[in-house]
Amino acid sequence: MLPTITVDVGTTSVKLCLFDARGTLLASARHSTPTVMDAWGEIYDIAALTGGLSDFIRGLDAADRTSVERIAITGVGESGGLVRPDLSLASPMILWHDHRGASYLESLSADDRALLYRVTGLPTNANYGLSKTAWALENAEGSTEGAVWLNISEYLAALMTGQRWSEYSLASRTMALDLESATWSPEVAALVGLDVSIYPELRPATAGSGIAAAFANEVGLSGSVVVHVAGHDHMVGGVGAGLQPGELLNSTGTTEGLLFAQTAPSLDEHAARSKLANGISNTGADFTLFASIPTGGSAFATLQSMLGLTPEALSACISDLSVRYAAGQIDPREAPLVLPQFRGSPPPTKRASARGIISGIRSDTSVEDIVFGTFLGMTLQFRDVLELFPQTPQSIKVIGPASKNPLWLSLKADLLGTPLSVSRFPEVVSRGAQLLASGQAPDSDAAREWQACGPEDVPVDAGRNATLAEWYDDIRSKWEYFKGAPA
Amino acid sequence: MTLVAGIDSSTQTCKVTVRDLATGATVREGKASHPPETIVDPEVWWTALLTAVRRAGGLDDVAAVSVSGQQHTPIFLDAAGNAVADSPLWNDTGSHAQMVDLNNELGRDEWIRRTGLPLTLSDTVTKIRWLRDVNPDAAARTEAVAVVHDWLTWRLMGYGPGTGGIDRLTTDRSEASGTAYWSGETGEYTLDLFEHAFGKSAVLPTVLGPLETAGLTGSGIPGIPAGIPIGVGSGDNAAAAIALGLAEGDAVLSLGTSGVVYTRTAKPVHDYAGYVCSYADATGDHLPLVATLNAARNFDLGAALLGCTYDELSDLALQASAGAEGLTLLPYFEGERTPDLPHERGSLHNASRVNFTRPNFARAVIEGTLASQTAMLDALQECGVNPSRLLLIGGAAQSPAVQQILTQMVDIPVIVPAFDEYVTKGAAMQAAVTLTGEFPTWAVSAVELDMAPMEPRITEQHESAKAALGYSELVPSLQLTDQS
Repeated sequence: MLPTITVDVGTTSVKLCLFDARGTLLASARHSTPTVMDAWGEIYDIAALTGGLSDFIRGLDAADRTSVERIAITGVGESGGLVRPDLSLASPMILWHDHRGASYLESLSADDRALLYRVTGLPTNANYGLSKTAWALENAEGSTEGAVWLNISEYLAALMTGQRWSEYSLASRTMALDLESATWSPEVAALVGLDVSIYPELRPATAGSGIAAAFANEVGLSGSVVVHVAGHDHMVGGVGAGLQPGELLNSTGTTEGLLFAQTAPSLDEHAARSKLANGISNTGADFTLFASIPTGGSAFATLQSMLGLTPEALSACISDLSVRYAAGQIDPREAPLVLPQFRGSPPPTKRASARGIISGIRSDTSVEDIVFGTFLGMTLQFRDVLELFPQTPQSIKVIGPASKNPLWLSLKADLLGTPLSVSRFPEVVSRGAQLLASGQAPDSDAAREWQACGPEDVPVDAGRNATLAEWYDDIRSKWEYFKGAPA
Repeated sequence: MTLVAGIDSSTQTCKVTVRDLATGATVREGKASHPPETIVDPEVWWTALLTAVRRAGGLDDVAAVSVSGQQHTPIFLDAAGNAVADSPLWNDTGSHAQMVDLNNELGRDEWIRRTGLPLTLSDTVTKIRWLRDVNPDAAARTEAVAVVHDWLTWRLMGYGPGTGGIDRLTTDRSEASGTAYWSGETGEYTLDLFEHAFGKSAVLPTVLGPLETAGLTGSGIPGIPAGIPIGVGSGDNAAAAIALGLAEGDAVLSLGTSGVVYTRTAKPVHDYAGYVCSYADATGDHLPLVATLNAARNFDLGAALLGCTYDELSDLALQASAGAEGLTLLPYFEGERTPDLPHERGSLHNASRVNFTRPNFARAVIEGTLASQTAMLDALQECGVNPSRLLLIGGAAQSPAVQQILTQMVDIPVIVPAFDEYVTKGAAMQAAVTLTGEFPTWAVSAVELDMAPMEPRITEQHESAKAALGYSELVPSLQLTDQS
């Protein structure tokens, strides 16, 4: 591999790493993802974002910095804004979960929506870039002559190189890309009154552009550095984890992602009804099938906020619960039943307006009961979403913050009845970005890549598996009722 | 100074206050706890009464005494006066199946027509069926059934285990009206209903009038002088109603362990919608009443989960806006009787990462609790009872958040009487009756809260959450079908 600076723009934080040629993490930093408010909601604070990035690079050890050969940028899909040829913004840089363009989709007929899924492999949703692009054009300030739609990662790459392009995995999250031909779809763009010229040139993650001299000088990098857009963070995580067909990547962050690598898209009626999201892999050669659960790691913040716990107190609570759970001292029937839709519902409904329910609260229900119930509910929600996929995973690879949560992991293994393989390396996404920027094919030596993440097995406990199965039989009808409750 | 004593044998404690007959001012008091279980040996109530009397300094200088108590809860006695079984409290949910059976056997409306009560698992009649079902031997040995205040009054008269004298058991209209084998129309027991439920007859306490005397205290009772008159006594809410000077047009919202809304009417009501229990009061009128199992203890849970005090819970709630940004609590933590959900538990709805904050949760606890209470006020109005002011009492009544939020949920003036033990006060007034032949006129100091703009979203969210769980379907549309 090549010495690489990786940039991972997440929902709540921006992770910056420096890896050497052996993949050793030499330096890292993490900042809150900077945002500001405009009249419609939250948008990226570009100055703060680029400032933090430049500061990180300038602050690196001089020898390490001059050794850098690649910059690889990954991050959330579905974000973006209109960028003029001079790289100025013609619109705000919009967050992934922003729905300001939703009205452009409201008038679409059932046939239009079926067409959208058939062509792009995506369920109609205002998260995706298509409606945001239409909104951005209509609400642009100043000229839009020559402007193109770029994802936040792509925009950062443009600022570093002077070049505007779109990477395949991110492009496949715009709902404007023809999945099978891997080209922008005029037919789909026309549904919201767009011309495909609003979308830029497409490239695989392995194809970068040379760094602009001005940026290289500003941050003290070599002029020979090549900048890559590594792609959608969950997919890049799949590369870092050496994900192979038949394996499930459980990517945990603010949200929780379920990702399968595929050799062909799944566009059948079941996949459409389940609102599973097809995508193109980072190399542009393969496909992915993905579902996102809105409430993942964000449940930590939600619980902290409501219960008034410090991060340390919540971690201690989880550790204690984990020990008690492993010792068979927790009866799940005593815990509240939690439908953890604190940020909307996952597939197959994907309702942004859906909200969480905590039921079964008794007079003696404790903070610990609610924490346990929340993670149990998240695990059950995960299983529901997994069952939407057309395949049963041969193995499950877990990456991200959940790897530090023994309770969540044990509950997941026990409820699914499937052992987990959990990365102990914290920055698998960044590692995947380095691999892609180094030109290494994702499947070059997948097993070796996963071993490099220091995986640890989480086995299934037969007794607890049986207990959870009994518990599920008891609560099943209520759980299904809750999921169907009006938002 | 002539002194009278009022005793309140409630769900959780026994309280005794000794008061000045002339003014009603409390001279001294004592308390003793009851066990937390919901099925207990009735002897614990007698022991607690004696302990509370001792802690009140004894009653040697007292001229009369009277007892009020938790409604419904039965004591099963054999001919010798021995309890034949432990007693299920009114809030023990184990009698749900018996409530269902009795409703199925005679029809829900028949109970309402005959007794004014939509039969609940709390009513005495369901408890006697429960005994017959779970302990038929004890039922067979039962010769008399009394409720707590009847039995304590009888004990004060010197009767007890082994003494016999079950024919000397007395009660009052308010207690009889909570049995579901008494008619508010006729003022008589409906003995056929008792026998239907129990499978046999039994001695029932004589129902005394409001100004009668139950008897005189017996000898040899520690701390209690022999030969002083014992007032007729009453159920706890009826006692509080006397003490508050409840008049027609007044409603009371009592936020204690359970939540209770009641008012005073000249005639009984029959609520075929199933919310309102048509009890009698302690003055000769009626006391239509609606109750929830969960009320002030909801605040215990809220404070425990938030790791704060009750005052902090109130402060937090007042930091949030009306509706708590959508966060909504259905506080059925111990199951519920209004609506009829004995096996359900509490639930929190519409939680999101944005609204799931400590202030919103605190506010949701208080709004959910009060929404359950004001729904009962609506039920009274549907029976043609339209209160023109609301008296807020109970342990949680002094909470600033409770007061402020309640004024956003009702469109009538809210009066907060100064804190007092109103049940023991009412009992003491009944004791006074035995000396003077009439109820004393004791002052009640109170504050009227400022009216506030209505916040209908609070109730709307509560109803929406109930609908989401299918709870709204449990209750037919409210309508008054008074067949009296």
